[in-house]
Parts: sequence; structure tokens; C-alpha cells
Amino acid sequence: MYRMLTFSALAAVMLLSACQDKTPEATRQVQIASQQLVPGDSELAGIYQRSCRSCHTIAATGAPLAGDAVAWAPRMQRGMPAMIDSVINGAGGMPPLGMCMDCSEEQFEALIRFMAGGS
Amino acid sequence: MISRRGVIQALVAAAVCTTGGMVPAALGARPIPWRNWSGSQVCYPAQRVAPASVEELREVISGTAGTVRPVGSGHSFTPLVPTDDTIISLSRLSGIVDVDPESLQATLLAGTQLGDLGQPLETAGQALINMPDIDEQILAGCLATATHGTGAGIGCMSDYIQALQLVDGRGDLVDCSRDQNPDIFRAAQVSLGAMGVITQVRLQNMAPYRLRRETVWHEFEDILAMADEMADHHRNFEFYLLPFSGMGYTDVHDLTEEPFGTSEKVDPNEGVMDLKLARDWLDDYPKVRELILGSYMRTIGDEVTVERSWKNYASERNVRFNEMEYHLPRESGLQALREVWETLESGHREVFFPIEVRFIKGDDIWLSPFYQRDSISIAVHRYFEEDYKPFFAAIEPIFRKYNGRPHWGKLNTLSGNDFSQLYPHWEDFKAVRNDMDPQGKFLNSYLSGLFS
Repeated sequence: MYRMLTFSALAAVMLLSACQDKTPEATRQVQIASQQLVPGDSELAGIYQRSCRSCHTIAATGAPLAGDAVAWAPRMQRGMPAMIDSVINGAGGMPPLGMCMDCSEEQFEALIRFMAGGS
Repeated sequence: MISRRGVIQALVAAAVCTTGGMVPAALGARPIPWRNWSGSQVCYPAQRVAPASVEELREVISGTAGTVRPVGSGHSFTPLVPTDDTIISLSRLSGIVDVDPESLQATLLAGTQLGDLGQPLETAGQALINMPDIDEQILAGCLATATHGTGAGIGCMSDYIQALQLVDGRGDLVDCSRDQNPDIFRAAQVSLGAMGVITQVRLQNMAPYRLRRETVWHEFEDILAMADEMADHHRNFEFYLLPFSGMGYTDVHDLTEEPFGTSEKVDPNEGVMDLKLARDWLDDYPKVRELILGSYMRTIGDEVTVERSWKNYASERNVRFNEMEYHLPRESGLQALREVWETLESGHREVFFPIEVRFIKGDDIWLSPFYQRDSISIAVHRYFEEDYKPFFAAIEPIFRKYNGRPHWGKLNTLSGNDFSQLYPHWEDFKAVRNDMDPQGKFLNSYLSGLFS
């Protein structure tokens, strides 16, 4: 049985090998662009700097990068209430409340729209 | 070229006989709750405030009835925060107050995230002496729970506090150090946020340095055989054991002047999800699981990274979990680890997270788990969507048998009476705490159970 599994595994490895390429340079460019963005509103900018920026401008965190409309589009299709629920309850590696313990729902919505490239 | 992750995924995919589905995360309801990082602790506070100054903080504490609990980044798994009354975030009290180039000490606001300290401290000619393996916590939370990195010759973060300032239960500002209010200082160095809200701390640092980090895979038995010697010969040494593989890896940091650089790395977040995949798909075939995981791990090469210290300690942890970690006397820690391993592999096939083992130097802080003893810390984990209780309940008696003290921020079932047996200064702490907070404002139900 083990011999068969090993053979099957090797075959699967070969089949999957064509699907592993990534484009680190493209990711790097999106990351650089994200690090230039700050909300225009000063209160929101303060929250963003304290709570959002440390993850949403670093690709290695796995978070969708600020301004990366392609990454945000499928998430935004879930609708704003679902997005706010994700922030409040945490999602993936993002902690509950997204590190802003005193934010209102309105502020969460504004921050989501900003990072999704809306404003 | 295929990635390493592709290899393990393919190996598991090829071996699997059945498949299973993922469980979607549940959504919460209004009003807005506070949750910890893993989601295991939750509360619905009436007030969530983030004072912008120490004066505002004092007004909140003196003017608020009911329980007041400080919150940081939510990385504690124990119920230190939950209250229906008021939670206070220190997120606006962040940054460096001043630095002393001669003593290499710096005064830091307590709401500063560890990850935000590295660059500004380096610019000021300093660096933290050690750091944990994540850097998302705020300083006050780290110090309140005796958060630590690894290094047999290095204490927990609280061991490097030279002075601190906090707001007590009356709203008064209190300064303390070894020379000023020394009893308050020894209690406040590790206080579970139960004595007041820390506003700033003065830390002993060192000159900026770079570290050479090397990760090497070994057979489980080989790691156990060389662990003590490696702990004594490297500045920072820890190791991980991967269940149902017979394998683990050592992770060492040493001071270096080598040029910056890094080899190919295995993403730890992807790695742990691959271990979950192997568990999910090969649960009925433990021998196959061990064969595939062990074979794969033997192919992984050494990883070396030379970087600034503050960039080389922490890793991103994107896969959430619940954790139990106990600190055991160094002389018995490895025997306890062997028993943990046997218990895990004999009856808990559901576990896939690595066991993490670290070394910490003893100190003289009243509520430090490292009080007057050099320690080995053993941490076990369960995926955040899965029930941790059966596994942790099986492991905790081993930790307790060896006189272990739990990490203050990590899951355990100990009572105030249990802690009083483990900490010689337990009653001293309670007396100082009562003086600082006579109304019990900083006690939620968990802390009240411990200290009342």
C-alpha cells in the first residue's frame, strides 16, 4: 500500500508543479503602493495608523493590502454588514475589532471602504 | 518550480481516501463585543474607551463605576479582560517618552505595540534585550502576564523593568522602582492588570544588534538528547516537536556581525495548515500520516536568516489557536515533555499543532512564573475552531505533577488557592493590590476569584 501511495504522491507532485508559480514583484509593487496611503480624515487616519496599517500594508501578513482593489473585490461582494461582522469577530489572522478596541461600526465601515480603494 | 508546500499538499492529497469540509466561522451579533485573538473569550462592555492622555485615563478610572479592565491586543487566552462594564484601550498612549544613551534605558508608553518599537528604538541607539515570537502585543499586556521570549540566560520581559508608572483604583498616579515604593514595584512588574493601569515603563535595553537565526530539522529523540546543551550554548534556543511525525526542529539565535541575508523559508502558517490537512485526511491512517510527514520533514533544508534583532524574533501567526503553556523547573522540564509527547500520541490524534519548548532565566518578581527558578516552558495548542478542553485536560496534570506554573495569559484551570501554593509572595501581592485598588475596580469575575 505504501508503495502505491508513494507512487501516487509523486504523480500528484508532478501534476501540481505547474501551479505553484507566484509573482513576488507584483506583490511587492502593491505593497509599496499600499504604504503610501493614508485616510484624508485625521481621526480616521489616526485609527488607521494605530490599528490597520501594521497588517494591511505588509503582504506577508496575508491581509488584503490597502488599495489593492483586486484583493478586496471578492470580499466586498459579501456586502458591508458581512465585512463589518468579520472585523468585529476577527477573520483569518485579523484579531477581533481589528485592533481598534474603541471603534464604532461607522468607523469600521469607513476604514474598510478606504482600504478597499473606495475613498 | 514546485514549492515545498506543494510537495506536502500533494503527498497528502495522493494518500487520502476521503475528504472533509471546512467549518465556516460564525458571525456575531450586536452590540459590539470584545473578543480575544482566538475568540475563546468574549464580553459585551458597556463602555469601550481609548484615552488620549494620562489625564484622560485618570478621569475615566476615577469617574467610572463598576469594573474597569485594561485591554491590549487580546492575545491572552485566560479571562483577564471580560467585563460588562468598561474596557480601556491604551492604543493612544504609544511611543517613546525618552532614552538615556548612557544607561541604555528607555521610557516607553505602555500602549506601544512591540512591533512598533524596533525601528524607533534602533534610531535612538537601543534595542530590546529579547522579544517573544510574536510582536503584536502591547507593552503593558506583555509585562502584566510575564510574557517571555526564549534564552536560558535571559529573563522574561518584566525582568528588565527599571521603573513604571500606573494609575491606581482612585485615579491617582503612582511611580515605583526598586528604590521608590519597592513593594508596589515588585507587585506591579507582573500584575495581571489588577493593580492599576500602567501608563509607562522604563526598560533596560542594549545597543542595537543583529542576530543569526538558524532552523534545523532533527529526529525527535535527537532533539531531546541535545536540548540542554544547546540551551546553554546559544543566546536564544527553542525547539518544536511535530506530532505524529517523529520529527521536530531547533531554532537558535546568536549575535553576529555577518551581512544581512536569508535562505528559503517554510511559511509557518502554511506549514501548520498542511499539518491540519494531514490530520483531517489521514486520521484513520496514523502510520501513513507519520510516514508522509516524517519523510517530508527530512527533506527540508536548514534555514538561516541574519537580520536586525527586532526583525528576527517574531513571526506572523495567521492561523488562530488556543494555547496552554506551563513553566516548569528546568531540571524536570524535559522529562515532563516526554510524558506530554507520549500522552499526545497515545490518545489525541486530533492534535496537529507543534509543541513549542522554550527556556527562560529565573527572576525575583513576586508573580513571575519564573520566580527564583530557571525554567523550561512547554506550550500545546489546538486550532481555534476545535475544542481544546479534552487535550488540555489530559496534559495539565503532567504539568502540575512537575510543579509547573502556568503562563498568566494562557489557559489553565488553577484557582487562587492553587496559585497561593505556587507563589511564595501571593499574599504580599494581594495586600499591595488591595491598597492600590480598595474598591476592587480592576477585578473582573476571574480576577476576583483569584484575589478576593
